[in-house]
Amino acid sequence: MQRKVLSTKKDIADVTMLKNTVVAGAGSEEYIHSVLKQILGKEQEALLKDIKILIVPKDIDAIMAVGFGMASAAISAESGLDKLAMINPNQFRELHSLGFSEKDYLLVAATLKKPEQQEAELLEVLRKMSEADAGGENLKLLGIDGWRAMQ
Amino acid sequence: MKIMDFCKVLILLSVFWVSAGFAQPSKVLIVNSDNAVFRYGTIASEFKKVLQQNAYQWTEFNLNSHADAEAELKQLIQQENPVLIYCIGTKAYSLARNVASNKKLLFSAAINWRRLDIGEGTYGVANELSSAQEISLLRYFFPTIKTIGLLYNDKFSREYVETIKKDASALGINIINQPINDAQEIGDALNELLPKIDMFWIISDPVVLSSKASVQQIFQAAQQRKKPVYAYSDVFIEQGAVLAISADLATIGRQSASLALMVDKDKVPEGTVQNPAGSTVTLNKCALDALRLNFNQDALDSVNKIVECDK
Repeated sequence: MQRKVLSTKKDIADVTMLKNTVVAGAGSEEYIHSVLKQILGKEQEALLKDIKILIVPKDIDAIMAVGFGMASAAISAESGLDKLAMINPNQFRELHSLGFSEKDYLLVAATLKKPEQQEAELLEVLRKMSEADAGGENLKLLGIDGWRAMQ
Repeated sequence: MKIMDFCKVLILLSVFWVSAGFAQPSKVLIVNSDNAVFRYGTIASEFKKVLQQNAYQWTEFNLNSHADAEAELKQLIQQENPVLIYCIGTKAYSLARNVASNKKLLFSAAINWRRLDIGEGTYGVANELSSAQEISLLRYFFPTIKTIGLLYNDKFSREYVETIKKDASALGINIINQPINDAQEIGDALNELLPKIDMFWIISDPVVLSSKASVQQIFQAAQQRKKPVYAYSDVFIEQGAVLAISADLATIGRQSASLALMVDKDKVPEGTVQNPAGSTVTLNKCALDALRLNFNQDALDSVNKIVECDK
């Protein structure tokens, strides 16, 4: 599980300064909107109507958009900031976090409570994916390390 | 007097209703160099979606559909009086700049925008990612690469190469740049360059890319020396580039629309040209496996397309 984080350059001291600016994020506009709403909280929810959302293909694009001036803030998974620290330490140092969402699963695989045999077999394949090289690589494509069964 | 006062109030209310209640939504004119071209069509489509979400209207003018584009565009601009003209492609921008230099112009999909005739009231989204963006992503995939080489022609690409060197240096990567005067010099230049580098970078230089033969020569030489090639476009993946990173088209459309909305409200410094915010990454697993080149597996979640060997 990971939190989403709202990152900006350090000259943006608090969320009120995001009025009439662009926030970049990966996913759908509805999803970024809901994450932003969660991070802003009830007191600052009114800001949402004055924030433009720019959808980009991936988290690292959103974070770099802040560094390169195409957006004032970015919504990304916490791991996105770790990536930026690795690939562009100078840009990473220029950013700070203004808020976090609640923790959530990155991806959920779901079946009916009593899965059919084929579904049960598929769940078993998913569970063992990380044990095989090709499976591990395919998981990396999804940005995850493995699956964990929820009890 | 009472009747006069009543009439004054009526007139004031009418003006208010006309300006507030019956105001026309803002209109943007989209000038497309050729809407049949996939990249231009994709950008236009995403641009329009954002305009629609923000209650803007638009009119489209496709250059390829008009015999006398200049005259017809002039007439359309007079007729529609758009708040802004959005130009997709260099041809569209050049024409709009010619006929409507007094209008706010926003361009995108113009190759090497610095060669455009930019005036006051012009804004844009560049066609190419900044070299800093490319190098950052390149490092993500290949964190052990320390020295990258490239060929270029000084007349066309000197400034760009200087920017690449500066951005690379800031990220701890050494660039060895070898100038060439014409395509005949490619062979000797590669013989000198390839032994010194970890990776070769194909840049968009008209002399380096003067012909298919030049490109083939580069890939053959790199293959012989077992040097991976990085490219700015996935058209080179087929030739054997291990990685291609380019600007994401759909994001260019959305970003242009977002910029247009802000330009209309005068919320953007004049002359702003943004780099594209989104990237498209193509990884050539087949070429990587052939070179036995390791890459950062954690970077796979940033890949848009993986090319495997044909089975």
